Amino acid sequence: MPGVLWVPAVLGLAIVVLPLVGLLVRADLGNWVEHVTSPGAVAALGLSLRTAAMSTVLCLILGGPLAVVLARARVPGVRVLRAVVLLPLVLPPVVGGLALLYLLGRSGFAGHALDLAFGVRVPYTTAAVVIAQTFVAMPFLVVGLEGALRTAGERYEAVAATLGARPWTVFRRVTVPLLLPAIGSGVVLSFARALGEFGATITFAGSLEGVTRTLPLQVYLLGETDVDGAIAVSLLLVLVAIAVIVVARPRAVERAP
Amino acid sequence: MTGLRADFVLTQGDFRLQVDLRTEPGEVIAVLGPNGSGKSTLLDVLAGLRQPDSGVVAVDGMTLTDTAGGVRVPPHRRGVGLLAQVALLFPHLTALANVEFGPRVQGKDHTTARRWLDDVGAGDLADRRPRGLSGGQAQRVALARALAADPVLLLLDEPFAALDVDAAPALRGVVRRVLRDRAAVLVTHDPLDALAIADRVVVLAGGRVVEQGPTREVLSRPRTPFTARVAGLDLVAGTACPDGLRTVDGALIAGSGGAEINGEPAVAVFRPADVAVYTERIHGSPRNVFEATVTAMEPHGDVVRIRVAGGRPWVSGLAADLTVGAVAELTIEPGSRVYLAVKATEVRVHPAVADPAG
Repeated sequence: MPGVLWVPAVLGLAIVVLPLVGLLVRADLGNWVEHVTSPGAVAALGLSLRTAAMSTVLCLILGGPLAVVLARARVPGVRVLRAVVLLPLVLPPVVGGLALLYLLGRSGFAGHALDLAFGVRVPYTTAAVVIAQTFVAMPFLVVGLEGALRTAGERYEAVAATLGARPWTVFRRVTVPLLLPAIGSGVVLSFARALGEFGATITFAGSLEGVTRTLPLQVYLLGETDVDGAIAVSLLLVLVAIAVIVVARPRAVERAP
Repeated sequence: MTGLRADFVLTQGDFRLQVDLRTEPGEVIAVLGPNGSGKSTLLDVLAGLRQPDSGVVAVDGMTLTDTAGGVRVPPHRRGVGLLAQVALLFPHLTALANVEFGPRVQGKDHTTARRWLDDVGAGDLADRRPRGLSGGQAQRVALARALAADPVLLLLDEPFAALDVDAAPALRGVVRRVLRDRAAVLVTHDPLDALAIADRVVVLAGGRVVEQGPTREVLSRPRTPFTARVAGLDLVAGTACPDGLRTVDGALIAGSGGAEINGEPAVAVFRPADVAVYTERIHGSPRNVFEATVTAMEPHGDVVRIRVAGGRPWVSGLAADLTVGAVAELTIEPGSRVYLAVKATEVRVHPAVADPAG
């Protein structure tokens, strides 16, 4: 390795680390506990944990089978589908939020139908938060699981079949157990992404305290009025992020794009 | 009651696999062939992992695949077991649980698993995880797992190829014993495997069966370059003539056996040990002499086997065995110009398939 690479490498590391240092230096650490236990922060934290947990479950029960289909199905066009699934990873979340709004909002075709048929209005509800989070977080789980499925290959499944196991038995007793580590890190990553979701949420669900105002939205709101409170809640999110990295490493963090 | 019957065609891009196999019940058949000859594809079709374009696969009178009749029994209902080159033990289960897998998913008595482990000499490994097993141990457990599922036909895909030299002979003995009364198809590149285990040999080359018959007969009287190479024999293709064999470019290989099949496609076969090597042209001897260049030298038991290439295409790939002393005395190395000589009495001419592939 040429020694000269150290210069940009250290600069790159500084870009990642120094902002966090800035946050710490500016923080009012003495009153941190007070800030994060304020009624607004507690409501936001509770909502964030609940919605992120729900969207993670949705990611798993929808994204898991999607990953299996993408990795195993032999149908034409599966490569296109794989690219489509990645879209939320590269799309600005605010665009995702707008897209959801014009699908499920009152003027969107699905939202209009739901309103007429059941009187259900999705935008600006906690359900909208969960949908927005699922939209942005699911690709993390799908990509990780699909990669693990492809790495594992179909040889174990083929052997299980020759031993007399039906497809569902093979899935239950071979595919899923072999995938458990990847499922674990995929779940942690999706949870983290859901927890940090901001753009799609504020566009599609708004910022109503206790209903749709999650932690990142609380930070944004406090940033206008109470900088110390914003920093304190930000540090809380940093702590959660660090915990996630510690738990999910090394498998998925390093594999996810 | 019949054994295995496989008669099918499968095309994949430019590759076409055409097979017609028949075995007696309980017979073990070895499939020899170079890489890309279609051996693994053949096993996939037998296991039901791939569907042929057309044809039939049946075991013991039970039709497993019949493209015309729309029969396609899925892998899990075929009763066709598979032992691959690598053991592929389920890493999340112990050795014993791996062996129990087949009986359990079939809803059968899984207490037989321990007996199978004992039978392959792996009883003391029952509680171990696959990660802690050596290649030979894992392959024994995998064999027990395949047998515990009680297959009507067992497929073995180069089961010794990934093992080290100490583990392979022991496992070969185990396989030989457990296959004694069991129908099996063994894919291998090692004629010793075939000799030790198989009743019959099928030689695949370029997707076609170029040779099949009783093991010893095929290996001692090979008719294709590939069979000759795996059996350790030299072989030159051409047309039989009264004095031996005439190659495509008109050269005569003197030998016996050509008169009876005069004019037919044939191969001249001789053993590398019967080939003498000289560094200077020799004259006035009733021998076949081929000018050649040494391309490779490898130890082969007590001798050094040299491979040659030559101006004439059929010389390429011929082998000769020399003692280490002779190699030193002749100062032969890759690139050396040599003359190979073989007595006519050592050359045997056999009828050959018209288009010896490989």
